Amino acid sequence: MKKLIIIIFISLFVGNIMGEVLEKKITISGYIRDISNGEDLIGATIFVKELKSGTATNAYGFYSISLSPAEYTFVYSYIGYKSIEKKITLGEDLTLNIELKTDDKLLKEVLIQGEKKHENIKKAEMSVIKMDRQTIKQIPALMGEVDIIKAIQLLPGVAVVSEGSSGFSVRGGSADQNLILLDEAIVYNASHLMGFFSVFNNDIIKDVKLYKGYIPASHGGRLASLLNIRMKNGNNKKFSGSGGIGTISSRLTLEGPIFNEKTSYAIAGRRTYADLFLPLASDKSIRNNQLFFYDTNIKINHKLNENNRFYLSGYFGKDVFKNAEEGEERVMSFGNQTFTARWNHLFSKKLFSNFSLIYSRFNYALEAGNDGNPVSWVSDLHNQSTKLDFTYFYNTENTIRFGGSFRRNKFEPCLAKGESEDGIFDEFEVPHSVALESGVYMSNEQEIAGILNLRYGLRISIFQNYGDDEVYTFEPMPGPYSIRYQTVDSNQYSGIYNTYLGLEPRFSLSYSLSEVSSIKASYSRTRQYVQLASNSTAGMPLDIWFPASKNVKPQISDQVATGYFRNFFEGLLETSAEIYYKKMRNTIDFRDRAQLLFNKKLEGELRFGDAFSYGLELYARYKGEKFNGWISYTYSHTERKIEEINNGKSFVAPYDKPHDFAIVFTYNISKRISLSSNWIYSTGLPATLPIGGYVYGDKTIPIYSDRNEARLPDYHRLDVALTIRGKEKPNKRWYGEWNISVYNAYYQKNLWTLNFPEEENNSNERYAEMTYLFPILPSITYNFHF
Amino acid sequence: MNKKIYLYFILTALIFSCTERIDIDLESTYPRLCINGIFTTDTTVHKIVIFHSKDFLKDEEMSMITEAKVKIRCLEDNSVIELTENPEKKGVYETDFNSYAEFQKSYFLDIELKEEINGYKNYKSEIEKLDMPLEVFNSFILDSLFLEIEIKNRGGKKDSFCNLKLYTNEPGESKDFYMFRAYKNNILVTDTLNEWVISEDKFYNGKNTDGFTCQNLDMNEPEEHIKIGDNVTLEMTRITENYFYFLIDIKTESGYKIPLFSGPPANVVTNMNNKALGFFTVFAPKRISAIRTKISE
Repeated sequence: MKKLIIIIFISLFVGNIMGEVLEKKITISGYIRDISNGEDLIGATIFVKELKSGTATNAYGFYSISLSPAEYTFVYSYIGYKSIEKKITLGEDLTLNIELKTDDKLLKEVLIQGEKKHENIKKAEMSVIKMDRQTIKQIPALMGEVDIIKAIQLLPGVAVVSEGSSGFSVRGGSADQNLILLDEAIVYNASHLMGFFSVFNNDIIKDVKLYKGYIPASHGGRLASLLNIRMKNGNNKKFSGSGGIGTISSRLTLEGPIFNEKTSYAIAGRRTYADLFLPLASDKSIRNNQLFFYDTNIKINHKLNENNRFYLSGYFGKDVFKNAEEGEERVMSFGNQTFTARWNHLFSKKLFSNFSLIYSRFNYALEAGNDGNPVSWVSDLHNQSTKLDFTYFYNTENTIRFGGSFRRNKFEPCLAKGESEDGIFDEFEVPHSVALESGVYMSNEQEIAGILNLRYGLRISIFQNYGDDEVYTFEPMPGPYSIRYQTVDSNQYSGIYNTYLGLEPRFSLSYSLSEVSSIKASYSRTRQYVQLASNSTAGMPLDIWFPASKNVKPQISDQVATGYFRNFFEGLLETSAEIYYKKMRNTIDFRDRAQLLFNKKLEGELRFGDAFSYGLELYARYKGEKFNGWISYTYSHTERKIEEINNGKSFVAPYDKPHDFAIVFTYNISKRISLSSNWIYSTGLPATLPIGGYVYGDKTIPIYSDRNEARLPDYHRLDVALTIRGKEKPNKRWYGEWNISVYNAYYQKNLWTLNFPEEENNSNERYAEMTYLFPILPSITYNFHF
Repeated sequence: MNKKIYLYFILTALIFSCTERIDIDLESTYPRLCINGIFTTDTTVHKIVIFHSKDFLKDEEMSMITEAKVKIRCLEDNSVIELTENPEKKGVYETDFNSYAEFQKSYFLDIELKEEINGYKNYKSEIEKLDMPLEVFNSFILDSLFLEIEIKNRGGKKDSFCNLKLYTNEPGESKDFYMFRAYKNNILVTDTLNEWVISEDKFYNGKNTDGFTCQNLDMNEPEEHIKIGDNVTLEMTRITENYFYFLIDIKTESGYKIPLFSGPPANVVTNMNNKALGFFTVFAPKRISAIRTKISE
């Protein structure tokens, strides 16, 4: 099977390329940028009128087209910008950098996607959604902060894992099956403050793209989705800034050139400040408490010459909680750090390359005093990666991408120890481990006869466990305790002692039925080697990531999807209907009441099985001048079957929500005032509820139904926001706007968790109690830019 | 420590959360046999309680199971201890006053009902065994107990506690599990499940406990208030691994759940066959006492 897949892909590549080898081609290439700030425009299109064909810029704003010598009319366009048309006679290779100017008329409306009209119809990629920060900015804010993750959760196929959470489930996958990249660096935990905020500061984000099905062959390592986020390069024309002052947090972004247009920077920071007022509290016991987060993004780029450009970017964020009482202090902090260094190099007008060195880390630390026995607990996960990507713009019909990557992951799950010399606590360490992930890939974007677009690629991924590790062999405990595993053997290994290799074919096609309609289909295989040990129903920062190993096989997903895409009203209304089926193997779940923290034998808590998911996604997006927004509906179902859970019977996955509906709109009442709103409805999450009880000691112990057999009440919520902008005047430097948002405007009490507490005077009688978050949450933010 | 770091999440959640009592229709299930049985190394009357399961939300009077034949059997010497039903307490079956569990012997519970429950008339427990040799148990000495009175100022309100600080050297040879309970003048005052402190020796195996607080009494509660002259006893019981996990499980499933930390709810694993619930266990307690004096202040 593996040989067959390789032969098919080689045949496709060779067959395409050999046909044109002998024909002389002239290449026109360059960058497309925003004239006002020099930002690269990702996905800007170059259309050759005579050929009715073209290409688009890559993630660095670079394009290249190779054509036969002749005179052509090139149209450079990007939505929200004035198109530029150039008539050029191609006689020899040509570099042409284009700077597009924003269209004043279009700027006043919400800009949805950086693509030309009907590009969504023709492109072979499906199950992909792009969002820009303007769109995200319009969505009503939670606690005054607009958020990328919260915006993504309103899209079809994406389900919220818990109210207010930054975790999301894509097409039935769990939250750890999403690969979240910030300038190519993995972000392991995208949450601040329990997920009420995400780690992404919208002001410094340039481009967000979510792949739910067909994931490009250049990326791997997660089963469900790729969320690719890119930071702004920084204005290389002039010093500028933006920011906001909110009720809970404030933020500031500054950007500008360094010395000249060749170098620019962008720096952004955010901090919550509710804790700054705690010292003023009348209650002495809370004066010394702290609860806040901060984060900083930095990016610098330098253009050495037309062929070489360098980027340095980083993210540093931390949440801090401190509780001090009666001389006893508890401090907890956690955060992500990422660093990316990139070098763009043009080997020729047709061959673009990018070389990246990437570092990312997620860690947390806790310290607590306990009867003179202070203890500390630290956990660390970090990786260093190198990645080399090439784009070969072969001709207008074929764009070939190839490259490879290598990543070294180091897992240090837990080191806990007493901090006093005469304390009673031993040092307790869950041994660290190292895993190597490598991948090579090749893919092609091919256009045939102007109506058939193909994307096909193959990724070969290799995973290796490395180091001096003790590997345990487990078997179930005897008798009724078989839900727990016992260790029956252990072996010591060193060096590279375990290797997994897998092929990950990816394929997608689009067949244009007309200029405004197409059908698309895709197949994608993904493999996941690193996963999160979490069986909670919401995201928490005490994350333990663990690698595949001799005991843990890689998770594998095969997904097929097909869809119909149709535009109306000159492309102002885009609609799509997609169906998908996904089969997952080696799905990981955890034994009942698994002990995931402080466990040297974590692998003994894992249980493996299969899962499947299917669904229908309907999506309609309107991009009018006065009115814009979208409606999304998802019907989905996800089931797992794991022999040692739920007595071997299938059960619905924890994030299974059959019906998920969202309507999001913005109405521009006038030039200065806009009203936006969203309404969300979804089926309640599955739940395991008591069906009986028995008394032990003074407690009633529940007898539960099968896992996830019941449903919690449905969820719905309305948010509204009003944005009032300052007057526009010529030569005005400072632009401000007020954003007034109300989250959960009609005070819906959505169940967050269901408990059965004891009656106050009778521990044997219980009642049902729901906990709900955010009954109604107004916020006001002043945003500005200059 | 785990509990303390949860404060962070709880605090964050509480800032934004509200609770409300709601009506909910829960499905119901068939009745099952439930037992609560403990056999210890103390020479005393040991009790096994047998009853039916109940509706989860309602406070129904426990439906006791009477006229059953209840035996504790020993695997090694085939000895049988027959229990008799207390005529005044239906469903409570008792041993003679001079029975006790022995170290390194395997015991299991054998029940024969008068009438079937859920299709079964005979029920058995899994084997429970105190695997520590008697000599090791005897050489494990609780050296001393210190009572520390601690006053905490919480938001202007003064809470006082009596911390039971234990000095002993934990045996290092084995993986051990403990339960700590406290008595005031020989009456058990940590009498609720939440007040039973359970621990495995993972973090202090073979070490001197050096005055570590094993229990604490809430001095604001009249039953737990310790006056000068009161005799306080700390009971450190070595329990079996299976019973340790059973206690963890019932504490988890009967406690308050916050989605951030809770995995999916699941039935507690019991050591009875034929879908019966509850647990039969054997354990070995050790006790040490101290009298509150002025020094404790």
